[in-house]
Amino acid sequence: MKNIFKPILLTAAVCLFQACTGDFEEINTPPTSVTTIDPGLVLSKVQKDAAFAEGVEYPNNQFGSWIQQWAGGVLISSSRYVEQSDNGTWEAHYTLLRNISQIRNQILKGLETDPSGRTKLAIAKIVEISVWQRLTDLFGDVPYSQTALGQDDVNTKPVFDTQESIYKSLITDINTAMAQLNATDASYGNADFYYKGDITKWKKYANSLKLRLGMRIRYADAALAQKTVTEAMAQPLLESNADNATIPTYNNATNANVHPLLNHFLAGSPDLKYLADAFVTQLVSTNDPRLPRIAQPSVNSVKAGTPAYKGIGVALTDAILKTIIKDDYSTASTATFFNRDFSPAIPCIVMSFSDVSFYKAEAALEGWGATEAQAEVFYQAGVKAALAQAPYNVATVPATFETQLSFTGLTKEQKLEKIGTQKWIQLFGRSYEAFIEWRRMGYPSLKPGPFAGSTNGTIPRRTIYSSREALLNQDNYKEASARLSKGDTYVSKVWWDKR
Amino acid sequence: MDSRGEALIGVSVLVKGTTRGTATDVEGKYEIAADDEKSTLVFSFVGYVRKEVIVGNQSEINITLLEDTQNLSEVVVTALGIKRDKRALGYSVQEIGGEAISTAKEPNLANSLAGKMAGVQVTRSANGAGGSSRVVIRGTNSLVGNSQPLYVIDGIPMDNSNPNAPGASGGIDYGDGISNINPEDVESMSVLKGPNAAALYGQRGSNGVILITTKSGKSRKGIGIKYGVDYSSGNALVLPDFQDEYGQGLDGVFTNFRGADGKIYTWAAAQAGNIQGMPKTSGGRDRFTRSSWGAKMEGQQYEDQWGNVLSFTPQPNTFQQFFKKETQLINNLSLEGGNDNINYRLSYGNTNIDGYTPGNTLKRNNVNLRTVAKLTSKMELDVKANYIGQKGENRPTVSDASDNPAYIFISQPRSIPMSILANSAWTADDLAKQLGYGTVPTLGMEKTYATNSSTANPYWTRDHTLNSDDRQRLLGMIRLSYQFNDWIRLTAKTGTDIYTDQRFRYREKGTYQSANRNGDISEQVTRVREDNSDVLLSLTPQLSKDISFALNLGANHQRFYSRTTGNTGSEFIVPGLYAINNTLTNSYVFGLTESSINSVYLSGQVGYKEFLFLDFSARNDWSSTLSPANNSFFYPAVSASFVISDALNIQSDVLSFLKLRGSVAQAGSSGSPYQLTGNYSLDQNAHGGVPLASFTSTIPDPNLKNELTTSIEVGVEARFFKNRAGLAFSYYHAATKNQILDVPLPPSSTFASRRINAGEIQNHGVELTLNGSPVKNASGFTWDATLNFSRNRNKVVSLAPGVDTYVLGTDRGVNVVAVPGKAFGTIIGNGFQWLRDENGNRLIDPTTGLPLKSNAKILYELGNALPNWIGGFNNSFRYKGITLSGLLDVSQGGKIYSQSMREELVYGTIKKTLPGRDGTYVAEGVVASKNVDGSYTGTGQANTKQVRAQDYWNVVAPDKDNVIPEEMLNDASYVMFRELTLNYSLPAKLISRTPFKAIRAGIYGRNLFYLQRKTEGFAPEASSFNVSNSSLGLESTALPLMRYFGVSLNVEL
Repeated sequence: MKNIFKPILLTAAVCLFQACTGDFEEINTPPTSVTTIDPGLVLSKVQKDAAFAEGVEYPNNQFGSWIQQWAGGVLISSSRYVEQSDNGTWEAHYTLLRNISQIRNQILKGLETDPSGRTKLAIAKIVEISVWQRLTDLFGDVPYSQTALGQDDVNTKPVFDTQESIYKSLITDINTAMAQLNATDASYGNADFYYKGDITKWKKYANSLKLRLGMRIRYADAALAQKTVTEAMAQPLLESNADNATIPTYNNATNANVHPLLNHFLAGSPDLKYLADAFVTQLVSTNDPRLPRIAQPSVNSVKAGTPAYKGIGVALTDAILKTIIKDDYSTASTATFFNRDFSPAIPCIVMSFSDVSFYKAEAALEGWGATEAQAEVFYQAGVKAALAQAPYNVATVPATFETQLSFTGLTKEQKLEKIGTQKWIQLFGRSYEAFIEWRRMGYPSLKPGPFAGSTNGTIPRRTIYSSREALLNQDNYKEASARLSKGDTYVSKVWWDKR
Repeated sequence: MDSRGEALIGVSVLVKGTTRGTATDVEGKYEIAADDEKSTLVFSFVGYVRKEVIVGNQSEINITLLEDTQNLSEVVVTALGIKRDKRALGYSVQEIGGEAISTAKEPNLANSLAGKMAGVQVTRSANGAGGSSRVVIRGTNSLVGNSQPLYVIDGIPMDNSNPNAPGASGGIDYGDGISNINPEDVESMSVLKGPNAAALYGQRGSNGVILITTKSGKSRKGIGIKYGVDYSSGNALVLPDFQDEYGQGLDGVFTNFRGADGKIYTWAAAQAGNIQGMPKTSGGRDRFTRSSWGAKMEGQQYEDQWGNVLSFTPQPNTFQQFFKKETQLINNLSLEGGNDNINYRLSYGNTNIDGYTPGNTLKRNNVNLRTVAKLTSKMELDVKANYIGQKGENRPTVSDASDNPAYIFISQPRSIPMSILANSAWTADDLAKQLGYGTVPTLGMEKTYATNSSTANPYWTRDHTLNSDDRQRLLGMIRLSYQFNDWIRLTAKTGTDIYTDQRFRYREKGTYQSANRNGDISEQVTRVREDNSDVLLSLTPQLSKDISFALNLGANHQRFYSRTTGNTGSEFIVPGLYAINNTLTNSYVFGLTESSINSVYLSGQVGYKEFLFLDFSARNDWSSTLSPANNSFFYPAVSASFVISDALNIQSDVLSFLKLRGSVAQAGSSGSPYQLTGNYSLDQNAHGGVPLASFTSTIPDPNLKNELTTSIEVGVEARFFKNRAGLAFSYYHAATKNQILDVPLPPSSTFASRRINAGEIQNHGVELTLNGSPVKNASGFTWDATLNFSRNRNKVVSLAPGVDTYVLGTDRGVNVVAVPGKAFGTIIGNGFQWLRDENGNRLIDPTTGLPLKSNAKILYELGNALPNWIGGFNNSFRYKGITLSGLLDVSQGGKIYSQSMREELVYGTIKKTLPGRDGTYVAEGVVASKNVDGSYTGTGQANTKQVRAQDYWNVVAPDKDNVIPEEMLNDASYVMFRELTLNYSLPAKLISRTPFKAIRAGIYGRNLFYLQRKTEGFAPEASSFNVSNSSLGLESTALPLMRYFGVSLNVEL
């Protein structure tokens, strides 16, 4: 009997030293993740997430409600100008930056001049620039130079760079990245949702992004804007809707794969699907052919046999809200965006030929890389391209809408207003970009809603820094807030916002 | 009789190995049925030396008990299952016996500890039958994890985790490990409080250890059969204090109007236009339509949101109409027997719970077989197999989630009849006459009272959704020991805790909350296995008459494995088929965790003349979760016990026993697996065939080290008046350093957190236990009382460099955090704050008459979630065969933030919102005057302006996201009459002619009533939605605590 203890003791003794810790490394290897990866998988993620983020329920009913496309309402108190920190938007952008910067900080590091990495790095950088631009456009000064340096070089208290310095850096970077795009280099192929690795199109896209960077700062730094815009105008830009940077969407899939506006419909609250009065009125009063594909006639008007479109006011007081019967108002169209059976599925736009055309029209008005006479042509191309976009697919401009395409007899300011208004409609569903461009151009002019909120009844000009950032990076946050004319509030204006 | 020949009254007489017992009467006489000649009678009496007598052929046994001049010999189970005389221990161990556990049956064994032990805090989850419980001994030690003790059953650690526990926004509690154990199988529970007692359990002992010893068979003739049945029934003890005066609407009126022309108008338009017809309610989502700020319910006719014409009357009993009485039926049968060489015990327990939530059932079968055999004169084999099969159905969803019925009822308008909701699917007529639902509803879809993304119809949930779970568990142990000679023994032991947990859930097509209202399904299986193998060499040489010595050398190998696989699918294609292939989109569930720890340890004791004892132990762990450079760590412990009364021979009639003790110990912990490297992981869903990947949001640290808790403890134990009264006092101080923390980073760093060793948490406190027998009189009546008190002070000394706050839990309007310099569990409001003058009075706007609040949301401290002190007071009275005992459970101090109150105030459903609805509400505070710069100062003059209650509460809680958090804060103090049991054992005389050897019947009540409670509408000790740090200080539409009454019958053959 004694014998049976020997093996037990022996096993124990052997096991407990060296031998048994031998499999520790294997045991402790994470079972569902890897330590390095094909950069394409990361690029795909960032391209898709960045695009889909701006068209879902929350940004639509906050930013989209501020610019009076969506009605917002009591459920989204920020739509009624009640200030709150925008943690979600802030964190989502830095998450995009974490992922996209891994490509340059780790995955393809060291391959900057190698054909196997050069162009891939440039494409990743271009995508990164567009994320940085949107982040600073929404908030103003943000941590930029001291962050996204890789996991070994993390600054846990990065300073907030001024928007002016960020823009200068982004313009330098876009030039560098464009120079690195090389058609013979390895590219991302199908992982690249925008262009499937087509470098010619990437060059046009990068240059269009440069145009946008330049135009955005035209009222803050005219000289740099003019230089940047003029340079961009001299190089190929997006030339037609076929050049649009888009992400495909899939209807019969999870809500993560559907168009963001369809996601808004499927996953969101029934009370947050209504359009704003100013937007619907604009479409109705100008006989806009997109109207039935953007808006839905109100339930009660249909019941009464007289289908009609009507939007709800924004930032309404409690007293007014009580008088609202939702069935009297229009939601977004259940034939198109709010329709799972709409076929083919609507691509999610990142940047369109129409965007570019409106910038070109504006540049032409200034004589930056084009003549003033060309402005109308560019503008018309922009409106036509906008009408032709899915799901509107309007190929010919109806006669009743033609006046909207004409610059005849207008002052320069009126022309800008017309560009701004058409841009506002074209950007429906891209709530970040629509809010950004509305602030920059100041058009269309919108009347704030009657509820005073925290802004004393003015439309917000920026969104508020994350409370988590304020808590964990307090000193730098305070410094940045102090630089804002009215502190970290909705009413402070970012550097380029001069209108 | 005693040594002077005087009769002793109330001496306990017990047939050894059974629960059959009696006590001597006034003449010192007794009568008891022994099994056979080999039976042993055990005579015991406080203050006297226990005596055992073999019955043999005697029919009358008269004995003399000697007064225990030495001390009371009290044997307790300590680390490694070693039984020790309590006097020799230099640290605190407290034990409760099986009877204290099994007389008033708690479905979760952990709950039986509530109020019974100093320093042990038990928090029930508010999650219905079979839910988890949180036990914290001597305060929270760790920022991450749950700070719960390790459960060791017959020497084998048990996995107490609860995979996929619920969170702040829903989930289902499928029960923790300890809830699987059958209380009837438990012989005793020994609580090792903190590292000083538990150092030998290594890293998992740093939060203390609860040692559970299960029953084993005894040598006897024939088979001993015991049968017990226990039935209890429970109902809600605490419910929200609903108002039943005002119904759905706003401003004291209805929101809408159905004109005689068939058109729907707003109330205002109908009034202005003098429209004929009747009032109508709307199903809109916001508080303007769905709250109970409407008209007085006076039976007036109205049309509801679905077009039903009803009379507007109060619907007071929403909870009572929907929920049911909870019943619990437990049957236990055990067989035991044995001889000199082998004994066995086989038990079967069956638990059947019909839950409070309709459709919720829990069935559990426990089979336990324990056999101890002497294979040779030197070798002993101990084998145990414990099988647990548990099936749950329709466990309730908890916390802030739509399909938690309690969540619906707290906000549902007080005028909606339950009979209307009971028809839970949309009809064509509903669709035609509805108001407020827009284009959403379709025929046959779930009908909710509002178009809310977070309201469900509880009747739909009951009838059209299903969840079930099936846990099959085996706790097994084999121990072989060999006694080489009278001082060397070798024990080898291996044990396993292995279980599969299968969970299935579906929600039919039409369920409002499911993806695109097309239903969903999920099925997953978790397979967990924890193996522990030990060898232990025990040496107990006789050195000299005065010096005793013992040494244990041991080694342990532990391996943990958990693998979860499953599928989730959404959007059913064909109705009525609940299979994953019938879904439009589906995705996988996968998780794998593996870890291993190897250890060597030694422990020893040196005793001098039975009054001075020194214990020491040391352990080294090798953990797989750390890198090779850091995976080996060592921690020692030493303790001493000095029995002053013996050493100095200072016993008197007053002081019977006095002991001083002290100890110092360390315990380490190596954290979870997979913390060392940064990684890319793939998204669940590819996008049109293109896979998506992202980089970890946590910056890993390849050089992580173990956490280390250092603890000191000193104590006094004394007994007085010939051992009639006892006192035990402990002071302890524990500091946990180098915690493995995910330190939060600002989002702009692009990372969410950095994993490092940082931080220090200190706990120090006192524990006091007093016990005694105040009455023990000639008639055989005894009164025993135990009072325990403990007070723990927690301090977060530091977090990581540069980190000021560590968020433990967060919910709407509130964060619960750890902040350096303060106690763990600081509650921070995240909302608006009242403006106050320098005296703390609220400032009232002179024009509106309403209190002023901050312009935007801010963070401000509200209080702390931890109690000041906890205690228990247990009394038991015995008279002949009758035992009556009662337990008071006390907790004082601490705060709870109530999400339910927030809902109730927003929607005006509780009595608190009644005063001043007619416009006579006067907000407390001082009138403010506005300064030029827009700020306010107080005038010192009390506000007298009258406002509508609705307007006042609209400032407090205009909607869910914008509240004054301090208004939702509740004092968690309570005094609860936790348990009352009355048991009667039939006298042996009466049953001597029956086949029964013993019959005991009892009645009991549990959670009887509060002597003190300060929370509004919920039970303070049963409000959390899970058992981890993340629900500390948060209540979120808790299911009510149940008050149970039960009866039990136990017979022995």
